[in-house]
Amino acid sequence: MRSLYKGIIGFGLVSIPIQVYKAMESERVTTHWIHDACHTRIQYQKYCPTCERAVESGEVVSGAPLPDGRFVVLPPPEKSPGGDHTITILNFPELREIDPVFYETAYWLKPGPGGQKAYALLAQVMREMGRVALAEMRLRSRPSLAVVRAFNDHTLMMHRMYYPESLRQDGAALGPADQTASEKELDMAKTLVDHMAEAFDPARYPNEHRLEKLRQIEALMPTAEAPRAAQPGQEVLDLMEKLRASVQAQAEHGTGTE
Amino acid sequence: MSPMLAITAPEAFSRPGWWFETKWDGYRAIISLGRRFAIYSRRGHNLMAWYPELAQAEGDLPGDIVLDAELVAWSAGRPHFSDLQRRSAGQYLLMVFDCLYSEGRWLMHEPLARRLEELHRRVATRGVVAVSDGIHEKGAALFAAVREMELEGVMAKRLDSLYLPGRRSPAWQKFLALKTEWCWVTGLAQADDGQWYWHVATHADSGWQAMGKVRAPGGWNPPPSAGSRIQWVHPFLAQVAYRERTREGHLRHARVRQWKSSDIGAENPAPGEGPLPRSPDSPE
Repeated sequence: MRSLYKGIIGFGLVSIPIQVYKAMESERVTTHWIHDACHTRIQYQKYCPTCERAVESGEVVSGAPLPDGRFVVLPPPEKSPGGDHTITILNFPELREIDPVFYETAYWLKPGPGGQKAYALLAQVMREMGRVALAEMRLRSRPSLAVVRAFNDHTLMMHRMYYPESLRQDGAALGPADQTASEKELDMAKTLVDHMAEAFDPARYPNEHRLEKLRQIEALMPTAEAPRAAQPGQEVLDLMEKLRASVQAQAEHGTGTE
Repeated sequence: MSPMLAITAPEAFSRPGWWFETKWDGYRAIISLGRRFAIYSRRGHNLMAWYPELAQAEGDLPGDIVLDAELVAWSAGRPHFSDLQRRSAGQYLLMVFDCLYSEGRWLMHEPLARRLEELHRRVATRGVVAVSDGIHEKGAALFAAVREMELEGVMAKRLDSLYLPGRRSPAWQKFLALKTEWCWVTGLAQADDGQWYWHVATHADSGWQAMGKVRAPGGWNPPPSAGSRIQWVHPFLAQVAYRERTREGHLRHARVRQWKSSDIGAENPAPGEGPLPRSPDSPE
């Protein structure tokens, strides 16, 4: 497992060095788009339809559109000063007070050198008091809200969150408010739910779709083909053609010769 | 048979009666296809032992021929010496530029102009074989173009010159667009876009002198823990090719040509492969 970042949890006057690891494996089986004819991975080019040519990444800037069709060009994002990934604890709510809708990505946190003791203390205290830490995290330059909590007795986990204002509030009114159920209907529904009430057991829910896809890949394994040798010969010809054109251009402009 | 060698010209020139072609950054190769097929390095080693992919060239060449060529590792439209050294290239190309024997006759005592004629008559760019093109007279202009594209340099050859095996002759001269230097990699860093950089330095009596940073080459395995901070490492040697140095001694337009493995980022051979053998030859 590779750590994504080194960082620091700021907790009052204490700072705990940590390493951040992605917690969830991608659920998708890795596939790439390849050219059917030669099995080469295709590339994407940035193309400008006005100038009718491919553009290099250095020629591209970030532009925010205005309603009238104009663009405001934004300066390139400032490079974050090296290594300053901080997780600043703001307060300690209870976990059930935070709606799961706000959770985005989960990370494992590992204590960095010299951080073991403070890390263990934070985990134990939160677990005993039934509270979690609401924090502002700043990985790279983008800040976001996060929850740091004890996953078990020893290990902390962090959930990056959406900012609450990102929630589309009008969705909350989509359910009907004017429906009334009879006592009998309610009882029946409750009996049914009671009957099906069970604790959540993660082991019972394998990702069947993924397994099916993996089986399919394994079955097709004998038909696998290496990418067919691309045509580097053509690229050599192109390169030599460019050199020739450049020599020609210099001759026409009277430079480059003695 | 050893290939003919070139002297380094003090500066690029244009001259009537001379032939100028791109100097490709790779390993020299003498290709012999007669009753059997062989590709020899400059020192006579069998290059196909290191690059089995080259066996395919037999089908791309006419029979009964001996050619002088440069083996290059080709990716993304240009040669990459470090891929050649690591044997990690997706594509290898034999850039053929001279014909020494053809259909029962040695051509070494004939002038270059005649040998080039024979080369173009018999060999075409196909598969892993590419016929290296050139131009008459305009050496300085070609050198400017080659510098612009950050290629290694230009070979200048007198059109009336004979082929002198193993000899370094003034009839062949090279214009070098890039300087090369061995230096120490002292630190690693990863940019925001994920690209790794090596911090390089020279070591002199007065201590370390920083030479700036250079993109980490493909085929090098970065260490497990990331972060935008520089990670200082036990220094290891790398050879960089660069256009020039700034006043502070930093490299401009630098890239890694080859490097000696260190503990960090040492190559992991694919399952079933042993560790890499020594490189066949140091290049010219």
